[in-house]
Amino acid sequence: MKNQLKVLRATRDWSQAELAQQLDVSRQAVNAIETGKHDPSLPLAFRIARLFDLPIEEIFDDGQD
Amino acid sequence: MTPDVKARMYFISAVMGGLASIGFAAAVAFGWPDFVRGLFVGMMLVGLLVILWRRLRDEYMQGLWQAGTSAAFATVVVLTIFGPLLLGIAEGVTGGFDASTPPDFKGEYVGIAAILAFYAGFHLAWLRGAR
Repeated sequence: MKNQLKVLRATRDWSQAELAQQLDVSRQAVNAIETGKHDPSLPLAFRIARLFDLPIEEIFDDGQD
Repeated sequence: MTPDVKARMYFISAVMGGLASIGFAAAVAFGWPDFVRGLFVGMMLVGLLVILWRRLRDEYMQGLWQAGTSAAFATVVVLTIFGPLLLGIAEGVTGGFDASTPPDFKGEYVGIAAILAFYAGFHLAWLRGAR
């Protein structure tokens, strides 16, 4: 699943560690999500969407459009 | 200890266990002394315990843990059911089959095979992605 997490993180000038801390996950988890190696669970996807104040579908793209 | 340090500990343990798995396989393949095998088994077990302890730290780590345990479980099932058959085939291929002493599959190898499979599954998921 593609996502905009890296771009959104860059716009806030956050490091992976800073984002991980705010999401209460490991830095490795943020890295895995950004590189598409891990699809986040629904609760984590909601936390990410709330943090960036965006709808989930604007951050994650399942390629079904 | 910060969450980042704890996470790093988890992944360092995974790497240590993975390297120990390769070392153990090499020790068996090349007939290295028992104490070397024991050392590698110890490293694998220590790594496994740390991973077990930290597996619920976040969902990514949990995903890697599940990939490893799935591989280990599949290995246990396959070896329990097909172990004697696989041993018989291996003895036939290597020419070690002796009709007077049928293949004697020792169940004690299932445990170590499961740990090796755990590390293989864990690292494959880590490299390819845990979904």
